[in-house]
Amino acid sequence: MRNIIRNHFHSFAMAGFGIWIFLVWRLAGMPAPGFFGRIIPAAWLIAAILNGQRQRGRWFIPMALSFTAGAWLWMLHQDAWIIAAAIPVAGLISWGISISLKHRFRVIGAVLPVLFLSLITAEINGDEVRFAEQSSAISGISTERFSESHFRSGDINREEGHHTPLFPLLIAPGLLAGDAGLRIIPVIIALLGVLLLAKLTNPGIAVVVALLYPGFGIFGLAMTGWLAVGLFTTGVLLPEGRKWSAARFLIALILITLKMRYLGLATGILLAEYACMPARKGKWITPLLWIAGGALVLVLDRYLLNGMIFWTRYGNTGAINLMWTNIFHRPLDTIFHAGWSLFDPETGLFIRAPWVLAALSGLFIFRVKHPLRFKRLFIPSIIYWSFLIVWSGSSWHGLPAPVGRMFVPMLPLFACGLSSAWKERGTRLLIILSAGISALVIVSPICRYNYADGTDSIFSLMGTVSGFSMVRSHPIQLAAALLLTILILLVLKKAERLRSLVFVIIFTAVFLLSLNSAGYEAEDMSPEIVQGARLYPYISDPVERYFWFNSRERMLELSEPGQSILLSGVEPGDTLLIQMSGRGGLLSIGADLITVETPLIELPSLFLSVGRTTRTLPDWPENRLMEVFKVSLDSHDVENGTVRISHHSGPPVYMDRIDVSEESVLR
Amino acid sequence: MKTIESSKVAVLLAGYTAWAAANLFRGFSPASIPLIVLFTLLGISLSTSMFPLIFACSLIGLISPVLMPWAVLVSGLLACATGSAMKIRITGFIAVASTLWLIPVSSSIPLIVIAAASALIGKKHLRCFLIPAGFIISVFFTGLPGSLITEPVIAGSTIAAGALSYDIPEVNTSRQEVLLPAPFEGTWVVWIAIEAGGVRDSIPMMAISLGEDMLFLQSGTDTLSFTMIPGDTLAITLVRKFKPFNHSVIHAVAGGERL
Repeated sequence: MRNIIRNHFHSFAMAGFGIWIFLVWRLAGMPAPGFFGRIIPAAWLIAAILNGQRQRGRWFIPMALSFTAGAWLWMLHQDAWIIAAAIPVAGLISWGISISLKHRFRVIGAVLPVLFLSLITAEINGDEVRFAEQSSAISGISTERFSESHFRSGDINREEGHHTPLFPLLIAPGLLAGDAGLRIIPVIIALLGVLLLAKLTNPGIAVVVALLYPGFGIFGLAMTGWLAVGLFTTGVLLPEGRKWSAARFLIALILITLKMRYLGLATGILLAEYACMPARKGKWITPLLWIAGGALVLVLDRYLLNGMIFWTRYGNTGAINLMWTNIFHRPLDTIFHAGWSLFDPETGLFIRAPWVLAALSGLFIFRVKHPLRFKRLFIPSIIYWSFLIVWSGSSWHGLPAPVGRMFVPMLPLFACGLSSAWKERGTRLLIILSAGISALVIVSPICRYNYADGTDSIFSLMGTVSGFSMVRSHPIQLAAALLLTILILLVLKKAERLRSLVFVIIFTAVFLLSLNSAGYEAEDMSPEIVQGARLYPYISDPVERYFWFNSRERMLELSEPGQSILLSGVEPGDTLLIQMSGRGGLLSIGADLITVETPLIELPSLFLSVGRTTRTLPDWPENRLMEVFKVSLDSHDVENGTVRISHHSGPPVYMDRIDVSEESVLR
Repeated sequence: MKTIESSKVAVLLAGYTAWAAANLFRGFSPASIPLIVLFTLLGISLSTSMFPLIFACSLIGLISPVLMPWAVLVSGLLACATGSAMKIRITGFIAVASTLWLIPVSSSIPLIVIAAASALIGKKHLRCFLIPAGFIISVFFTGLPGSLITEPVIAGSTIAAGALSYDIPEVNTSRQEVLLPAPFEGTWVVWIAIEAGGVRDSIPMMAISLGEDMLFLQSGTDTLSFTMIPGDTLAITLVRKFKPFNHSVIHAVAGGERL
C-alpha cells in the first residue's frame, strides 16, 4: 500500500486537485456548478488516471493556488469566474505537454482530458450540420437531427451541399451511433493526425500543436482541417525516391477531392516533389504525367460519375475571374488581406496563436538542419496560404466558423519550426500565452467564434475593445504590427543575447492592441447608450456583408419610435461627428432635426453594363454612401450632460460611428 | 547571474513603460497604481516557476482595466504563497494591500491577513497549507471578497415592428441587479418570464421593482406583466448574499408591445 502511494503520489495529488476544484466551486458559489463545476474536475480525474507514475511538474502548485485565489475573488467582476475556471484548464494543457515530453508514446493520453472538455463545450456548428446531413443523404444512415437536408447558400441543391462527398462518406459510420456519433470519426482522424505529427517532430510538439490554436479550434470537430494535416504529414513522412511520387500525387488528388481550398496545398506538394527530385534524364516528363493524370481524373468524373465530384462544384469559371481580379485589379487589397490574416484580433494567426512566432523563428534553424524536409513543408504551406488569400479575397477567414481553421493545414510546418525553437525561454512564454487562450475558449465557448465585425469575443470578455481591426482600421496600421513581429522574430532568433526584449515587445503589442480611439462604434455601444435600436444586418453572420462595397461593419438602425441613443459627457459647444447614411430620414438630435440623405454608391463604368444588361445598384442601406454629419450642440440640445439622438420620421437612418469633438474649429 | 539581473531590470523597465503608456493614452487613473507593483513583482519573479502566471496576470491587467484588480490580487496572493525569497513575498503583500487600499472590496480583511501571514512565514509547506485553510475559514466566517459597490447592469433592448425585447444577462452574486429601462416614447406592456434557483430554501431570493412597487419572489419560475411609460425602469434584484454551497442565479427573458 505504501509503495502504491509513493509510486503514484503525483496521480493522487492530481485526483485530489480535481476533488478540490469540485469543492471550491461549490464553497465559493461560482456560476455553472452543474456543468463546468463538474466537467473540469472530471477532466482532472481522467488526467490523474492517465498520469500513472509520472511527476506532475513545478507548475502544479502555483496553478492550484492561482485557481484557489481566483475562486475566492470571483465576485470582484462578473466575468472573473471564467478566468478562475480557465486556470485549471490551462493546467491540464500544461500537464499534457509535460507528460508527452518526458514519456514518448503518450500522445493520445496527453490530449484526451482537454479533448474531452473541448468536445463537450463546442456546440455543433453549421458546417458540421451540413456535413452530417450530406453524410446521412449519401449513406442512407438516418439520425434524429440530420436525416432531413436543408438548403444553404452555395449548395448545389437540397441533397447535395457545396462540400464534396468524400468527407461526408468518411464520417458516415459514426452516425450509426445517432446524432451524438457525428464526431466519432473526426476524433479518430484528429488523433491520427496528432500521431503523425508526433512522428514528424516529437510527442510534446504534437500535443502543443493539437491543444493550442489554430489546431485546437477544430480539434475533433467534424471539419476537414485535421484530415488535411494527416494527409499532408503523410506525404512529408513518405520516403524519398521515385516510386513514392505516385503516392504523393495520390495524396494531392485526395486533398483536392476533400476541398477546393486544398488545391494550393496539393499544388505545393507536387511542386515540392519536383523540387526535391534529383536531377536526372527525363525529369521534365513527371509534371506532364501529373497533368495528364489530373486531366484523366477530371474526364472520368465528367463522363463516368456525371461530374459528381469535381465538375458540379468546381466547374465555375467565375472563381478564375475572381482570382484574376484579386491579383491584377486590386493587388494592394490582396496584400492587406494577407497582412490581416496574420494580425487581425478576431481571427489573425499571431493573435490567437502567439506560439507560431516562436515556430517561425525556429524555421530558420530547421531549414539549415533539414533542407529537404523544409522544402516539402514550406512550399505547400506558403502556396496554400497564398492561394487562400487570392482565391477567397476578403472572406479568407471563413468566419463565423471556428476561428483559425484556415491555418490548420499549415500545422506540420509550424510544428517543425517549433521543434527547433523549443528550448528557448521566449518560446515557453509564448506557449503559455497560447495555452491561456485555449483554456479561455473552453470555459467561454462563445470565444470560439467571431463575426468579422471588429469586435473580438476574447477582448469583449476582458471588457475591452481593440481599435485595431481588419474591418475598422486603415491597412497602413499593419506596418506597426509587422514591425513588432519582425522585432519578436529577431529577438527570438538571437534569444541568448536579447531575451529580455521579448517582454518589451509583447507589452508594446498588447498595449497597442488594447488601445481604442475615443468615440462610439455602432457595434460596441453599450445598452446604457443605445435603447431599442438594432444592428443592421439583423444577423451577425459576416457572409451577409461579404459583398458590400463600403465598409463591412454592421450599422445601427434608427427607424422606429422609442429607439434612441443617449450620449453622456457632452456639453453645449461640443460638436458631434456622426457617420451615417440614409434615404432622407429625419433624425432628432437634442432639440435639432436633421435630414439624413446620402447618395447611392456609383458603380465603376466597367460594371454598369454587360452586353445588353444594364446594372443598377439596389437601394439597400449598405449601398448608400456613409457621410460625416457635423452637429454643433447648444444649451437646448444638452440636458444634464446628455444628448438624445432618435428617429423622428421618414425612412430609417443608419449609423456607423459617433465622435465628440470639443474643437471650435469644427463649428 | 549577471544576465538574469539585467533581464530582471529589462522586464521591470518594460512593465513601467507599459504602465506609463497606458496612463498617458487612456488618462491617469489612481486605480492603476497597483499595476506598478504588479510589474515590479513580474521583474523580481523572473526565473521562478510562478513567473508565467504573473506574466499572464500582467497582460490581463494591461488589456483590461476592469479585470486589473482581480489580476493584481491573484498575482499578489500567488507571490505571497509560493515566493521563495522574502522580497517576492513582501512585494506580493504590497500588491494585495495597495489594491485593497485604492479599490476597496468587501471582506478584504481576510485577504490582508492571509497575505501578511504568508509573506512573513518562511516555510513553504506551511504557507501552502495556510492559504487553503485561510480560504475555507474566511469563506465560512466572513464570506467571499466582492466589490463594495455592485453597479447595476442595464439590459440591452431592441424594438422591431413595434415589438420590444430585452437581452437580460444572468443575475448572480457578482452581478446583483439588472435594470430594464422603458423606451423613451410611448406606453408599453412589458412581460417578463423569470427562472431563479441555486438555493436550498424557500426564502425570497429576488425583488422585482417598478417605481414604488416592489415584489419579492422565491426560487422557481414566474411570469409577470407591467405597464411602462417613459422614465420607468424595471429592476430585477438578487436579494440573497453569498452563502457557501449556494449558487443563487436568476435567468430572465422579457418583451413587450406598444399600447
